[in-house]
Amino acid sequence: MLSSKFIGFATLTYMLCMVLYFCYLFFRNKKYGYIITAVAVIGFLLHTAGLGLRWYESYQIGYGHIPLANLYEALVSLSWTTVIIYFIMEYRYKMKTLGALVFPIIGICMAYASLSPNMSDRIDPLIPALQSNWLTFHVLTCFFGYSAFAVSFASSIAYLFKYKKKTRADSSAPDHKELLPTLEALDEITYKTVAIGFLLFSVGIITGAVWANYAWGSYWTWDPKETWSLITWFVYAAFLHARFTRGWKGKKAAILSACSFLAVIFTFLGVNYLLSGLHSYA
Amino acid sequence: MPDQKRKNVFNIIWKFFISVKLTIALLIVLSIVCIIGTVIPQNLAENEYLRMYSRSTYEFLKSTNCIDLYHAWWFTFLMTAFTANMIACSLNRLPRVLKFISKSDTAIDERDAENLLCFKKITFKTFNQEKAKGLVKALEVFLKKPETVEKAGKNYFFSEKGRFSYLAFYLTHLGMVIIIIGTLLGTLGFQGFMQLFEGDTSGIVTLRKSYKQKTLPFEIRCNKFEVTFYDRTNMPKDYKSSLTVIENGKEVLTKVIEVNDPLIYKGVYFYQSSYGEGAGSRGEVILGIKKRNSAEQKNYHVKAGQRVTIDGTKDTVKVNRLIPDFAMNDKGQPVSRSSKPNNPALLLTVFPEGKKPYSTWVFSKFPDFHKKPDSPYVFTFVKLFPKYYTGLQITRDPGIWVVWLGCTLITIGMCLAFFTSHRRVWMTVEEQGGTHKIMLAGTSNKNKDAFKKDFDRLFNELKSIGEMKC
Repeated sequence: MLSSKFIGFATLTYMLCMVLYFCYLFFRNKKYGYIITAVAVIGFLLHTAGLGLRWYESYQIGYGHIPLANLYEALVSLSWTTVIIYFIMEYRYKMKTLGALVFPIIGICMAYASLSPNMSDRIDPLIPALQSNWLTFHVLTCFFGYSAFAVSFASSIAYLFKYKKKTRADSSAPDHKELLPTLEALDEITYKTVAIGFLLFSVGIITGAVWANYAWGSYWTWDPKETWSLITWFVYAAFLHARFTRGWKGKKAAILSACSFLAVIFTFLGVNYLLSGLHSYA
Repeated sequence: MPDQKRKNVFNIIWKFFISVKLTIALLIVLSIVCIIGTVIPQNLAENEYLRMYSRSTYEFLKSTNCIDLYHAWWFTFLMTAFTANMIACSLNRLPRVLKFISKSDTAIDERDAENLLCFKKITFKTFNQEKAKGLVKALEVFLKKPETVEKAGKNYFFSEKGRFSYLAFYLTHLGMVIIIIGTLLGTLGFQGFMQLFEGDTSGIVTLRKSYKQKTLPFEIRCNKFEVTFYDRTNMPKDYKSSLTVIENGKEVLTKVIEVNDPLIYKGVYFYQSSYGEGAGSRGEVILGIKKRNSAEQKNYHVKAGQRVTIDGTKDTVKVNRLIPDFAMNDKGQPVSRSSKPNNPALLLTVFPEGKKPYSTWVFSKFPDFHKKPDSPYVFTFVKLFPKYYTGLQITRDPGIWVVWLGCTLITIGMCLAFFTSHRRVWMTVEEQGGTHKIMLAGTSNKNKDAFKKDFDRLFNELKSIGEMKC
């Protein structure tokens, strides 16, 4: 399939991005920043083309569905939404160094989808329960939510990394070549991405409930995936409450946000591998 | 002083419920409970648990309600505490929020202004009236048209934006409480299922969990069931049932339902949830009939309930009943154990010309059983044509719209919480012996860093309107 080739090339480009972003962090030469972004954009275009083609191919086979139907498609689409969220943050906060932490996540996701031996990249037909426009709304809102959480994870890790370095060096002299954003900026990015992620994820849970009610006659059945998404929701709700009312900022907030991401990973992957339920097809 | 004591106790309880520490603790405890709920499978049969756990572990889990923990008394207790926490916090905040929501004073005391997030003072030697107007304009662009008041020789300006941002708290938390109320209302409804063969009509729902029967105030008939498969696979592509609602003997509504497209009548939802093959009481069979003394058997294709004339005679046979899985109940009456054709049986009534009609049972698997030696005919149950049945999930949830209302409020509330802030800016202009003293102060309840940047921009604009006094 042509789409797989595109997705393969996108994976390689993202790997290259990962290396370039690391070099950027290491050599701290701002001049090459544009080149790196250009490479990332090329990767994204290949990725988009790959997903678009796969969608088209599914129509040619006669199944005709958006590529969100199995784990391979989920991983590739989740990487795609993560790139979008990352690009927005890179543009908004004018900083590229977070890419060194986001692109490894995207790279691992894409490589796992392409290379894992028990991963089928076949286009499967949709079971009747999934044949609904809610599939697009529900899965995309959830995925954008997951992606925002992934970026918040990256920025919390960056925060902790920088925090450690700063306390070790203990120098108040400003570092002109410092490319990692200030601690305050990283803290702000963590909060903003968690807030956006929380909103999107909530909408994802709600659209899921509406769909479940429409397809199965029950908006909530305590299915493992539902329960784990609720756990993730609780954990991020705790993070936001700690921040809003108890003023948790900086290191504490970064640690909490980084740990909360474990719940996201488990909700997305762990449930499918370890627990069975209604979502076991995706 | 018992009155004082009572007040103290009330205070302690109140303090407990308005604390955000309680909220965070509850969120963590609920998360842990939910994790347990996914690790221990819920609502299985006893023997399935015993396959996983030892008898004593199972008894322990059962006694602590861990095998149905989302309905356990202690889970309800946690949810009640969670709700009480949200309501108490909402009430506690109310006076403060009302203060903010009511209009702020246009005139501000300098001592109050100094304590705000942003505060700047400037004195001008010369002052261009035209540019001063521009400043008001700048304030207007930044927030909205400022209100002005003149008092004791001072000009006061006040502008604000996003006062409704305080509603975010109420919308999100009220939304949560409303969802919880909606789920409680939902318990007034029911959830059940029904299996209906093509052509069959029923108004009896088997309830989930309790397996009790519930009679609906109307009946449902399955007109047709269809299933299509993906090419070269046995994966179903689509399955549909044509259903008709019959109320007081009249057909009121007909709809073809499929997965993701239910039939709704009087608040009761009928979902296409499964299908299967079996034999309904209206199934079709092949009945073999031969005369007792003849060797030749003739096969008849008959529907249950139908009457056929035996070839070459004026005698008729009626298929009175079709039982796919014959059994006797404790009253000795024949019943069907299931819809699977495990032991198909027919109750035939023979009407010999001019003689008294008589009945006989014919079994597909036991052809020699229950023979009537005096009958002039020998009947054989040759074949049963399996029929599709449609599996319907039937639900009535009076709380559903309450739940959706709560979800909508939460979503709007979150948008307000994350994307809006209440910004206020005060400015006073005071003329004093040819110089103009200007004070600019402002605050925002959220997103303070962005506000500071915008405030500085406004201040820079202010600096450009006249010549500063050094």
